[in-house]
Amino acid sequence: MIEIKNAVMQFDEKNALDGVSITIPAGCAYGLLGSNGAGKSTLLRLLSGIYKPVSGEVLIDGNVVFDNAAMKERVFFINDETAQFNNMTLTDLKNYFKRFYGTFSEELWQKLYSTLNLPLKKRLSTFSKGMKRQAVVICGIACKTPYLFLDEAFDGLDPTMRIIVKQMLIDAMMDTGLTVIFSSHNLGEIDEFCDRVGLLHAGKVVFDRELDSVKGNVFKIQTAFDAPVTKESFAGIDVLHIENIGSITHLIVRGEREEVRAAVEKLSPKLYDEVPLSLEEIFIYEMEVLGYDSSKLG
Amino acid sequence: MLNIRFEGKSPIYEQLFRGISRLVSAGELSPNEKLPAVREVAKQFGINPNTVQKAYAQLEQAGLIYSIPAKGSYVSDRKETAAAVKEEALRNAEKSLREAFSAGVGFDEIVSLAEKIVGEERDGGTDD
Repeated sequence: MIEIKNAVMQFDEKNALDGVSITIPAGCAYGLLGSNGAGKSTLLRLLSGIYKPVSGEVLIDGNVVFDNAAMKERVFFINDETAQFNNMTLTDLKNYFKRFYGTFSEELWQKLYSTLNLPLKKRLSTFSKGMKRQAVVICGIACKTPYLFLDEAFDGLDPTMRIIVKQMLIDAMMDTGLTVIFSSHNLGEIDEFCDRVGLLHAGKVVFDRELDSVKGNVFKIQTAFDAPVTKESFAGIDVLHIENIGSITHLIVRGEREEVRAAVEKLSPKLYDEVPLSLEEIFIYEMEVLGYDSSKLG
Repeated sequence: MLNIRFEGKSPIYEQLFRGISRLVSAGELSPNEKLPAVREVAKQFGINPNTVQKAYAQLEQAGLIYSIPAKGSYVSDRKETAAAVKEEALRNAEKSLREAFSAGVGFDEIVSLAEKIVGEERDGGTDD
């Protein structure tokens, strides 16, 4: 389990993370969303023990990661930045990680390597961005750490490679109960693969929820009444947004589907049509409720 | 391989639940046929294995499938289950139809909607 408790991180006296608290259960696939500069990479670096928080706590399985060699062996961070490996060949890279991680599996590495088409003896500086990514990903999975963090994971990978990497992760999740965190700006990728999703904005957590509860619990409802209605007309349900266009009332509502329906039907609507929202639409409405201008999210 | 297409905005486990229900009631999955393992389904669609697990658990709760520990999940052979699913769907359709008629929707509009839906389902079924 990962516990981030009120973590603050500063660079040049500016808060990159401003009191972040997130708990991630073991075996979870967690999607970390946010625009550039939201604090995603900083958070992953804290979790990997690269930085020490200015205040607050970052715990994995109850232990501090920073300056803790035993804990660092339990996490693998696939960084956005791979320039430090440029002088190595793929074999060098494998041996480098093998020395560091006692749990490294040569057999698994060979199996993963055989699904790809990467040269063993060329320096990584000659690799494309996607090839470098693949090289680090297979090393990361072969290290068999219980925690794997991927920063902008699918960047530079073509669709076929994305599927292959996902399949590798699925095996690791089922075989060893891997906990994985992805950071991304790509909502679609997170939507398909993650259990939980967190949205960071300007160093703060805007959301941290189970994905199914986010998606299954916000609806757009088109309805019509004889008398005009306002947000207050709907007792007991959470109306995020209301708009009257002609005789039709558009509602964005959060709650259980049946409860929402029952509450609206109390007002004897002439029409009731429920439309699910995309994750993106949900985020925009929820951000509005929280007072964020979603147009600035990028 | 399951012949299901993911699209739209509802949760993935719900789409998987509905997709498998459809395959069962359409007879594409026969009684006592073994369903693909959770891992296989997750890999086929690139989705989270926990999500597949959740859909399977709900299908089992609904009586559409049963599982044998350490062997896997199978399609229920209870004909009444499929019949019950159809009956409930029909009840829901009746309710929606009554609402539509009372809101002034015409009979022809309903018929053309039904034709459109049937057409889409057919396309969805053959498309992979």
